[in-house]
Amino acid sequence: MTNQTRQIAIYGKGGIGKSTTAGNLSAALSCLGKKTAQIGCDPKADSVNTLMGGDFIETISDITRQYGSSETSLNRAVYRGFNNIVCIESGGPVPGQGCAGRGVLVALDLIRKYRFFEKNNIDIALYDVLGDIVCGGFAQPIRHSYAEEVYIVTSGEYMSLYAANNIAASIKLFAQQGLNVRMAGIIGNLRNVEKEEEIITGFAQKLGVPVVQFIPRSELVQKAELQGKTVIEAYPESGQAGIYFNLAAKVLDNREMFIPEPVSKQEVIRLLDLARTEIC
Amino acid sequence: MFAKTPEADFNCDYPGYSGLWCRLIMAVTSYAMTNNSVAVIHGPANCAWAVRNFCQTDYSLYYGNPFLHMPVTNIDQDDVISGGADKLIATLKEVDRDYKPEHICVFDTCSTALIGDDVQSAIKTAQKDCNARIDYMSSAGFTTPPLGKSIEQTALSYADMMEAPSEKLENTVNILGQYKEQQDCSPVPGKKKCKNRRKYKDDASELARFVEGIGLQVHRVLVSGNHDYIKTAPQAMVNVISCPTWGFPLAKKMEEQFGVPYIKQCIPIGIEPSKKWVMELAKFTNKQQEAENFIQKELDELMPVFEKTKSFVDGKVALIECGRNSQTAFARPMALALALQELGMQVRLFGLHPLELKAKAMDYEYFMQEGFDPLILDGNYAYQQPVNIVHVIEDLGLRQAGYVYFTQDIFPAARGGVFDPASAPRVETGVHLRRVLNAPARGVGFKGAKALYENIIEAVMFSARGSRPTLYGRVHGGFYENF
Repeated sequence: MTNQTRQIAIYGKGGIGKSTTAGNLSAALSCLGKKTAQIGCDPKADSVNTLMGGDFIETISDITRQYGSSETSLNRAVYRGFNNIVCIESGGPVPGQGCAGRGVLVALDLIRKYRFFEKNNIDIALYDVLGDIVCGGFAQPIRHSYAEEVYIVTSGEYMSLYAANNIAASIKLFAQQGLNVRMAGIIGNLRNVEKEEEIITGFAQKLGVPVVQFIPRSELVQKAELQGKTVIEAYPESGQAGIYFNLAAKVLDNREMFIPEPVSKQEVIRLLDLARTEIC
Repeated sequence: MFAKTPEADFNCDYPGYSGLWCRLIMAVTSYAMTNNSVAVIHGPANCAWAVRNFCQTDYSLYYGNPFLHMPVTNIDQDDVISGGADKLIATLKEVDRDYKPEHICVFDTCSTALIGDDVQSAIKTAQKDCNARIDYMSSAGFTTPPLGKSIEQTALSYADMMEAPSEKLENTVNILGQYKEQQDCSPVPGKKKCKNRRKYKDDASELARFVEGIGLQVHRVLVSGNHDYIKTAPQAMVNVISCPTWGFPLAKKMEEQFGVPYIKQCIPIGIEPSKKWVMELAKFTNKQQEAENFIQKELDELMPVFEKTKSFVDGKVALIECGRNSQTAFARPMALALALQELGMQVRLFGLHPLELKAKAMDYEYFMQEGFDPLILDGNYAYQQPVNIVHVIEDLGLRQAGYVYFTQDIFPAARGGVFDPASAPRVETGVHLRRVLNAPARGVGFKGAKALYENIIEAVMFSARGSRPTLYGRVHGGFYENF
């Protein structure tokens, strides 16, 4: 791929706030002068919703099914959102049918085949990938070397850490297989769990990666989403927006990449038990 | 050898193994025995092409059944992503409208099975608008790579097409693991049937002769016939089995599902196995006296040829080839070995792929129960490669005229060592050639045994004559009358 475009994948457990984080990160990056693209890799196709004023866009899957696989089809699936951010959704089947992972692969192949990022001088492409790495299809953004830089969004809850650990294990495996994919760090999306920051920090240390940013829970996020906007767009002067700007700045500056060392399930539990004991 | 062989799953213990007969091919080919039916292949066009290509080349060992229409849903990448159920429903309606068949069977492929297309629901939806009954046969190739396991699973599907009987028909028998249409079909609708175009009776007609010879009636030969023919099979009093790989699974399921008892039998070749086959059926149906009379009449005709053959081969080694690649036959070579042992021959089986041996455990169990455990050459012969018969002869240190080579006719084009047939007696085993219309195929039973004996005499005589046989001599020579 192009040297100019930094391709970043955002992974994490389903419902943990990946799309919210990705949308706000994209918005912040664009405000910092970067030409940004966000690619939703989820059949739900709701990743760029807050960048598009609350609109759901037509997906690559929908368009190629109707018009065939071509550059024209790809361009039909490209939308411009807040601050001219390029918004794309890979799309996929309705729940319970077909193979969504294959849909992600085909969409990403199309973007690569027609050199979309190079032709549009994209500085940063952000892949917002569905939940856990549930199958090979959802590993495509990193397995096929689209994104070489991965951020995992997690809270301090067990299932979220468990999913993050699984994703870290996949990244390690791919790295061992000779792929350039590396983990850049953890984004702690806080859920007001007690000792949450300590738990996430402890987990990150075990993995051997940094916590790039803690994002505290804020009602502004939901308020903005109800308006079909990111916090950056709706409340640019707020403290929450400042946190997302901080994250964007750190991502821009971050050049350190890691091969994570996943831990066992028991170690994750021990980490949580330790935090609980300290609370008691 | 059986105990040492791992379970018949596709695993890395046999990296050289590849099933040439994909389960889809096996399933569709079996369904091709049915009439007035259409196979709808739910998958990419290439899967349908592979089946069609198989059916029209030497590899198919064409069964002699009428042409089977096999339209395909033509699943493409978009369908893999979004699911192909809608396309299947549309195809089924189209097939019902255009072909007007009595029966449609849906066969899934790897792509549609991997994405978990709900074929059953699609069939249910389409069925509302279709006149033909629609059934489904699971056939994704990756599910059971060994051929034997594919056959087992495919055979079970036919029980699902059957209906519980409203009445039982006295003195009726189903023959399982056979095909009827091969003997009496006509390739052109409305044209004269092809009966009696063979030199020897085929399996189905010989077994039917056994059944009728003791005063019973053949109800169904499966897999054959149209949907009505198949669905009414449970009306029979008993199931008898020809090929265990096909027959046992179906017989067991029919017993569980419809209470039809079955007699555990195997391909009867030779005198004792044929007698046993007839007597077991006779005992079950209380026709012992009829069976004894029938058998005596058969033996009166057969024994002179048997004795003559025995005088030619008694004490010699019978080299029985089981396969020239992974598509190993097991039941038939074992049945052949039994028949040859009766002639006083020392049997040696070779070219048996272990994975297929395990996959055909049903055949194995049958012969082990019979106490028949012949020597199987388990040397360093490459699996999946034709074993050169010359090497086998050398390895065993056999002298010329000390053996008879029973060749495997599955994939006859596969090189299995070249030697001069004028100096080495060679007999086709008839594993698959018997299915081909007009092929000089031997069947089973007493008639099959007679044909086998004649072929052995012919081979031994040819090898002793010191000159190459001519085509004219073989076809018109009146060979048997001259010795």
